[in-house]
Amino acid sequence: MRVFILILFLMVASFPAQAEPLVISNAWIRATPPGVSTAAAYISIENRGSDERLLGLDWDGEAMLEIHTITHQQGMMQMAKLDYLDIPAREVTALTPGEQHIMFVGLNRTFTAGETVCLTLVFQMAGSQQVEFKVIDFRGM
Amino acid sequence: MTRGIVFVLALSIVGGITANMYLREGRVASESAVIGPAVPDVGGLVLKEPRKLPSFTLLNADAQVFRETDFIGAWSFLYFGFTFCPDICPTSLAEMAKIKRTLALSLPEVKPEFYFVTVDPLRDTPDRIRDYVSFFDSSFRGLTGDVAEIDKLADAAAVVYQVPDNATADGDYGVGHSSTIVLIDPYGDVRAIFTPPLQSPALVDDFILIEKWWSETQYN
Repeated sequence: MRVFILILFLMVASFPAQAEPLVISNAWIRATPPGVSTAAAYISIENRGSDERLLGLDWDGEAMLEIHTITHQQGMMQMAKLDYLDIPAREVTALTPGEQHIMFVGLNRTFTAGETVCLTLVFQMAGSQQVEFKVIDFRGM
Repeated sequence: MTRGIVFVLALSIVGGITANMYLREGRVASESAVIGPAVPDVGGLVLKEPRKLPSFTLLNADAQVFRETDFIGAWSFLYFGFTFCPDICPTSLAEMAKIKRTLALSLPEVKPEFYFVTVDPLRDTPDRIRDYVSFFDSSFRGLTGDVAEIDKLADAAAVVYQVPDNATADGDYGVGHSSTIVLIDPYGDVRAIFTPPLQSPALVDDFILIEKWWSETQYN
């Protein structure tokens, strides 16, 4: 009986960790030059649960949000839109400059360092999650 | 007979060295056998013989004519890209800004110029380029113009790019392009092409080597 209570306790204690398998960090948007209609956002997603997939993103603004990767072909770097992004279990999936990124297409505003922007990430298993992205002036980074 | 074998051997050694120089990718070999200062070993290609720029007529960010002769008198760093590029171009231009700041401290007398050359003139007007480049550094210069004129400079700089066929001035499209930094010497000739990853600490070290090598070659 005592063992049973202990097991029950351990199950309850570990429950919150199971409820939040995705740990998000380094969510930031690159501050934009005046007049541009594109921008890029970056994020790290640690997946402590089972295999996951980022299906898309949404926000309150006008621009479309797309998941992009960079391909290197014939001496050229080219952006390619992804339909989704796999977030494998027990790995950190990092979207970083020069590689995979979230792209704003058709932006009608600038992003200024210091502000925060809320984006909704839509996952296949975990559903919608709101994430605050910090706008960072990368020029001194 | 012996002489013949020695000749063949000598020929194959020379051939081997030459092939080695051409086959090594990414980094250029410093051959000690070359007369004069050895070409520095950098993250990219250093051209031992300068590559002349063809005549071209572009527009700077103030919509004034810019010709190949306008590069004469200073070292120039060129990055080819487009202002609608959200990731690679801003990352590279931020690195160029860091190169500028670092060189201002380590080689204050050299005073290089920094250029952003658009490969998307359909959307990148002089006004637009000025807003864009000055965000990275107020001294950065921008170049745009007719596609045929941009191609003359891009070809000499070994830059390739591809604009989609259906591109329009108000369209949302990406442009594939080489992500290199092209170095032009104070005579206005192409001298080096830095290849990715374009990271300022390594590029500063490389430039210092090239500048020293180039200065030495001027006295030989």
